[in-house]
Parts: sequence; C-alpha cells; structure tokens
Amino acid sequence: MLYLTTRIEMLELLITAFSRPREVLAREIAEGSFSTRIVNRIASCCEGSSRCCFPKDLIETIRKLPDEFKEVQEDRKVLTILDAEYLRLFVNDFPSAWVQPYESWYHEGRTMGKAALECLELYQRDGLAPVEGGELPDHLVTQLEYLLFLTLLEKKASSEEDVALYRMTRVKEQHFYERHIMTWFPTCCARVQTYSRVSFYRVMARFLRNFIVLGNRNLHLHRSGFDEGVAHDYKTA
Amino acid sequence: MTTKLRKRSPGKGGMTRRRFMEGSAASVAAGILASRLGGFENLALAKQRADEVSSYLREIPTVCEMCVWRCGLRAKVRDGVVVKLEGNPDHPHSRGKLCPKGNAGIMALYDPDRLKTPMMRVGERGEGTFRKASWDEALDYVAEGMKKIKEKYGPQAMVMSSTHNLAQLQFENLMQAYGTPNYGTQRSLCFNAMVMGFTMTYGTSDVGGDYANTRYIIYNGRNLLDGIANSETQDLIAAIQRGARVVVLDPRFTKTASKAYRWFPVRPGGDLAFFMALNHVILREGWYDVDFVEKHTSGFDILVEELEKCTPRWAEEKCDIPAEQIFEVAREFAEAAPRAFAHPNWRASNTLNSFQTERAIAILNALVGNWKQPGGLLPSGGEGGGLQLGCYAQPPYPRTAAMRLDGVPLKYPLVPLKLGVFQELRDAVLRGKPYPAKGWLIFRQNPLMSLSDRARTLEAFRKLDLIVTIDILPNDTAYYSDVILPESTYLERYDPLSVVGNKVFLRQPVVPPLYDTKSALEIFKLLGERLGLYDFFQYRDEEDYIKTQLKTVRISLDRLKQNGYYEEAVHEAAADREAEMVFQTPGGKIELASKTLEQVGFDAVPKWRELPRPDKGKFYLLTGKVAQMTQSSTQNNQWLSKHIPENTIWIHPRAAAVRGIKDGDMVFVESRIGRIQLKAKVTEGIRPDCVWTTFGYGHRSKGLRTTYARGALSSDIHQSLTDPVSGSQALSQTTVSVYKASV
Ligand code: SF4
Repeated sequence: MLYLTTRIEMLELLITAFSRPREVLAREIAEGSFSTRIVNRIASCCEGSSRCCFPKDLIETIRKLPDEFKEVQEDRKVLTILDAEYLRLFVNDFPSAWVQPYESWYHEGRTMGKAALECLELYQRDGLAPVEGGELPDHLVTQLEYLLFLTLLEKKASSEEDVALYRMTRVKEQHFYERHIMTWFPTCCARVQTYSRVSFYRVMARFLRNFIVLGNRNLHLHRSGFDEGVAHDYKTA
Repeated sequence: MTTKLRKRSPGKGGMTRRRFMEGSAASVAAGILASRLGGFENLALAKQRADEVSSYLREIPTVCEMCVWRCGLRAKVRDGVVVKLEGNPDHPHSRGKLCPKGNAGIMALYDPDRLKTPMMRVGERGEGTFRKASWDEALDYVAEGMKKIKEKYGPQAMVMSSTHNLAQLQFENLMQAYGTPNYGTQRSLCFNAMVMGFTMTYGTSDVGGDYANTRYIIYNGRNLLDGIANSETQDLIAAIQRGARVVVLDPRFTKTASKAYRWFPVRPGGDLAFFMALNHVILREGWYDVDFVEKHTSGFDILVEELEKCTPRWAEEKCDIPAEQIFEVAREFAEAAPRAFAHPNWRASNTLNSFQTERAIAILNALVGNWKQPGGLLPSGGEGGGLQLGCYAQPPYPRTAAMRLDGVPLKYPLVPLKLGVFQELRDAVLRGKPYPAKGWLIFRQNPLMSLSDRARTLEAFRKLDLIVTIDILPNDTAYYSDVILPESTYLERYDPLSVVGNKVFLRQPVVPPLYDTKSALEIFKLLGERLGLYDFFQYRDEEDYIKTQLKTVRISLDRLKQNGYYEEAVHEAAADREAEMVFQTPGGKIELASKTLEQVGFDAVPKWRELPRPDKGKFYLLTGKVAQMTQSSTQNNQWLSKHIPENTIWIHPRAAAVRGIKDGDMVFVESRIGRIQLKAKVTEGIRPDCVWTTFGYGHRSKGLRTTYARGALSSDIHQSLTDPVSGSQALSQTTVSVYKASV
C-alpha cells in the first residue's frame, strides 16, 4: 500500500518526468538524484514490509538510470537528448514515435474529444481550469496534475479529520481512475515502453504503469458501502 | 458574435445539490493550489463557476481555410471547444452552406499530428529527426541563415514560395523587403494558362459567369461538383434546376458530367480544335454579335483567316467529337447567347496547348458578345477588387540585383511576376544556373508533392544550405526541412482581411491556440525584425495590422469581430463605371488577335499544333480533384480520410481486360521517370486511352499518421513539361503504361 505522502511525492516526480524536460531534470537524472528520490520513495512506502509494491527489477533499472548518460559530459547535452526524445515521442513524432499523450486519441483518434470535455467538467466542478497555453485537459500530465490535486485534497481531509470531504475525494479519485486513467494510461505507457529510444522514458512509463495499478487497487480495496452511496450522489449530481 | 446564455434553473432554495458540492470543493482548491506553488503548470483556479462556463454556446463568425474559396462560417464553441462549423448565411461564398471539407475543419484543429512547437533538425536531412526549439532560437537561426546567404551570395540566392492565402501579401512583403526576385507560387501548377489567356484577350483574368440568368454553359475540364467552389457550385446546381443546358468536355465521366446535357469525352489536348471549330462555325454562319464585335474587339480579320480551315470535320479527328455535334453545340450556344458562356475553367486540359485553348474560349465568348450581359461573362467573378483597404506607409523595396531563376521574363516574356513558373524555378535550383540558390523559405506549401517529378525536387533540396517550412502539419516538405515553424490553424488565428467585392470579412480566432504556434502575420514580423526590416513590419500585432486595414472603411475591429463582415454601400457612379466597356488591353478593346503576343513572337490568334499521342498500349495520365480533398493538405484529416483513404487509378474495361486487370487489382503505373502502385478502378467512365487518379496521396512524412503511405503520388511519375507561353505545367502530356502488380 502507498502512503498518502508517498503518493503525492511520486506523482510530483511523474509529473516532472512526463512534462517537457528542463535543465534541472537533465542534471538530476545525470547525477542520479532523480532516481535516488524515486527509489527512496519506494523504499519508504514499503518500510517494514517483506513484499515491496514495485517489482525488484524495476527498482534496479531506476537505480541505473544515470548510466545511460555516463558518456555524456554536459548537462546541456543530456537535455538535448531528452528534449529530442520528448518531441519525437509526445509532440511531433517524426519519423514514427506513435505515442499520443491525449486520452481522446485513444478513444476517438483525435484531440479534444469527449474525454477532454469530461475532464474539463471534472476540473471545473473542483474550481479548476486548464491554464491558457498549457497542455490540453486530457493530456497525460494534466490528468496527473488533477490526480495530484485530489491526493492533496485527500491528505487535507485526512489531517483535518473531515470525513465527508475525505469520502467525497476518494469517490472522485475512484471515478477519475475508472473513467479516465485506467482507460488509456496502460496502453500509453506500453507504447512509450515500446517506442522510446531513451531508457529514461521507458523506465518512467513502467513506473507510471505500476503506480496507477497500485493506486487503482488501493482505491478499490478501501471502497465501503458508504462510499458507494457518495459515489452515486457524485456521479448523478 | 451571437452569444447564447442558457440559464440553468436553480433548485429549491436557490442552491442545487451539485452547486453545493462544487462549492465545498472549490473553496478548498485555492488553498491546495496555493500550498504547491509551481507544482501545477497545466491546471489553475477557474475564473468562472462551473455552471457558468458550461452553459455558454458561442457563435463566432470567421472564414474557412480548408480550400482557397474562403467561405464565411460560424463556429459554435462550447467550453472552449469547437463543436460545429456552419456556413455563414451572410457570406457570398458560402450562403449558409459549407462543403464536406469546410465541415471537417474541426478535425484540422484537433488533428493530433499537428505541428505543435518550433523544431530544428538534428539528424540527416530527410531522416526526420528533430528537436524542440523555442521560437526565439528557431527564428534567430533562420534569420542568421538568411543573412549569411544574403551577404555571401546576394538575396537572390534565397527562394521563397507560398500558396494562395490571406497572409500571402505579407509573405510577399517579406520577400521583397529581403530583396529576392525568386518567388514560387502554385499558379503555374494550376491556372497560369487561364489567367494569361483571358488577360491577353480581355485585359483581365478576373472573370466569372452570370449563373442566375444563363441558359447555356460550356465547361472544359472544370469539374465544379468535385473541385468545389462553394457558391459557384451552388450556382451551377441552381442553374441546372432552372433548365440551363450544360456541356462538359472531359475525358472522364465526372460528377459534373453526370449532370450535363451533353458530355464529350474529349481527347486530351484536342479541346483546342473543338473551340477553334466552334468559333469557325459561329463566324461562318454569321451567328456572332456583329455590333459588339465591331465596337469592342480588334483583330477580327486575322481571326477569320486563321479559322478558315477549322471546320467541325477538321476538328473531329483531333478532339474525337463528331462534327455534327460540334456544329450542334455551336448553334445552341449562339442561339442562347448572350445568355450563354464558355467557362474560363482553371486548368483546361493541361497540355502544351493549354494557353491557346484558353484564348479560343475567351474569343468564343467575345464573338457572341456576352461580356457584362445577363447570363454571360462578368468581370470580378472572383475575390479581390472592390474595397481598398488601409496600409502602412513603407519605404520602397530594394532593387533586385538579379534576374529570376524561373526564366520570367527572359524565357517567358508574358508571364506576370506574381505568377512565375514554379517548375522552372525548381529546375534552376537543381542546375545551379544561372546562379546557385542556397536557401528556400516555404510558407504553407508542399513543393515536394505539388511539383511534378518529386525525385527532381528532392535533388534540388539537396543543393540547399537552408530549408525552412512554415506550416500547420508535418507534411513531406516539413519532413525534409531544417527548421519547422508551426503556424496556428485558421480557427486559432487572425489573418489579413478578406475582401469580396464591396464586403470585408474577418478571419479571427474562435479558440486560443492549442499549442505553441503563431499566426503567419506574427511569424513574418518576428522574422522580418530579425532581418533588420523593421520599416516593413510596423504593426504591433495582428489586431493592430487589421485596424490599419480598416482605416479606409467605416467599421471598428470590435464591431467586425461581432458581425464577421462589413458591407460598404455601392455608389451609383461606381456602379455606372462597372457597366462601361473598358478593357485593359493595349488597344482598349477585346483582342481577338493579340498584339502583345505577336510582338514577342507568339501566335496572335490560336493556331492548332498537333501534340504527341501515347504510343500503342500507353495512356494519357490524367489527374483531378475529389470533393473531400484539397490538393495534398487534407488527406490527414480523419473525417475526410474516412471517405477516401487512398487514391485509385481509373481504367477503361477494354484496356483493363487486355492486361488481365480486374477491379481492385493492384497495378503499376509507369512513366518515363518512375513507377507507382495503385488499386485499379475499372470503369467505363474514362476514355480507353486515358487513366485517371486524384492527386495528393502517397505522403512520405511519417508524421502524418492518418495518411502516411496510403495510395501513391502522381508527381512521382508526372514529367515536368511546360506550356511555352503561359508557363503552365502540361500535366496531361505524360504518358504511362499500366500493368498488373502481381504478375
Ligand atoms: S469551398 Fe468548402 S473548403 Fe472551400 S472555403 Fe468553402 S467551405 Fe471551406
């Protein structure tokens, strides 16, 4: 099981990994601090447990991430490699990357389809809106940000012992996982694993896939009859 | 702009259960986001409540750009998403209707393959490996490259090319301010022959037909039901419904042919003989408008002499149309005149005789005196003309220091500079003579597909140090470029105003740009400034540019944004002038025999020239349009591609049987320069000596995932042959053999 704080930290790391690469990310990958942070997060959630939530070989590959850039001396060059790969994978994939980071594409083969509209509505119901000039509402990173928002909300409810807010937030998370995340993240991650030439993205995709499977399981394990009632209210509101 | 606000009725007590729940979550959202400064880059606090946002359905008027016809449309936008495009009833080009492409414009905006950020090549050219660049970096690189070329080789070493679009004037501004004469447009690939044929006769090429009053129309290769020009296509259908007779000359049984009163599967290039014979009959039988011809034309005697021998019997074998039927058409046309017109077409038959064919068509109209008559030919049938818009006071452009690479005016003395001869320009780049070209800036154009003989265009690309593409999609040309600058789609940007007669129309953003893209106006300005051409780009932004254009008309930009258009009252004096018979030719009259042509050594009146016919067992290769596609720019549109995912090759059943080809078989189509593979469509709707396919398929860019590698490109086998007078490429002169692919 993943603790709330661990989930939050992991989400932040995943958001950084799947956003347009910046210099600081390039530096952290090259010097190893990015992988260390992930490995530490994994370790902290499984402390005292005999069985870790994440596969051992995944943790090993995360640990080895800096090796890929051992030969590359300058951080700028690491950034150039990451940037070119990000572009090839997620933006304009000349010549053939085949990974679209938009949920609508997986259901309708286009951008701004029904999934994007549904996401918009969910964000709006929580008082949020996409930033102008930012990614589209159903972009992988935007959805991760919403998931982070809900997790932070859950943490707030839990620390303030606000049961109603806590349950409502859990229902929202379950709904978001069911209607959106689980419908396309696994395929998208699999495509990144298949098509990325840079192991950083392959490893991060695998990490993300494991993360959402755990998150989904976690939500369902804790589903109570009361939650079902709240869920019904939420979905029909 | 029509804004419809549908109010939701509140629940009892004024607060719905949903609003209560939203409120409680929204109130904590601010705190959560504030606690993670920098953590959220794509989500922020909403400025409006959810129920306020989602209840808006706005209608925003703008102008379509799925082809060059520029129909007015209204975009329905809900929650910032374009949900429907509809024709603007007030726009003369759409009259409330959009064609299939216009409707599918939504998918141009929401195409996942769109260019989303500036890109710079990192691998070998043509390998397709790019990296993301910031606008500053990409523009600095382009400007630096252009400056170096200018310093080392002179500005003429930079080629610039663009398609027909609203921002083209500003592109030309950039080109002239930079100082290169080497301009490539799509016009020689399309309508040079028509423009020049009518200009040499009437002094104008801006000619249309009065469909509302006509009784008889002759089309030659113009297929308005597939090559849709929205309002004109509507006019044609209305005219047919009213009982107008339509004659279609086309080697293929097109949709327009299917609506015609007479369809003649003319032999490619033989259309010139057909029109010469029509003119002959009209002169011989005395069916021409004597008064009109005497008052408003010159060169009558020379024409009569030349056409003396051009009887229907003489023409019959040349055009494959029975003499009796040629005579019949001449009689019917003359009887219906002046409520009759022979359409100028766009490309006629696309042969080495195209220019003279257009001349013969122009002369036919002149002989029956249908100019400015109800049901006849009308000036200003197309865009432009009418209102004068405001502009910035600019310094004069620098003198160009070199002749053009495309042979205008030395080899092509009469071709207007704005038209040029694109295929010759490409060939000169390839030869490196008379001087080498080093760079090519390409604005929303795809020369790698549109120019015949793609291998030669690729070869020419290899000679260049710098290739820059400004476009919306990662097309083939972008794929082979060094720098790609992504333009916003027409639903996300402003363009310079569109003038249609006495009306001005606004293209405006209906949603903000989805990605890191810019309008052409902004790109040209940013590039121009980096090249030190500040005086030529004085506008602050797009709105500022349009406000300057509006200085001569009485409407503010804010009003124009709401209405989408402005109509200026036509003054009576101007209307009277319109009725005058004024021709901008050297003699001020319609030139049946052209002095200008004679002066530069061309035939003053149309003369027949026999063109080579296909060898035994070979075919004329013909190309044309389908209603769902615009050249090579729409195949990746998912809504359109669904209907025609790939092109086929039409072949007559007799020709197919001899070769053992069945409907749906894969066949090779081979010319002297290459071979492509296509699926056969065996149909009687094509002459046995012709095969036909539509252009624009066979994309090589792997960035276009919907259409990549679907069908094949005719430019791979089209030879570059050019009409010597107009510079039009003579596409239908390419001959091919066809054989089964699986033997
Ligand atoms: S004819 Fe069709 S594609 Fe062209 S501008 Fe009009 S609606 Fe758009």
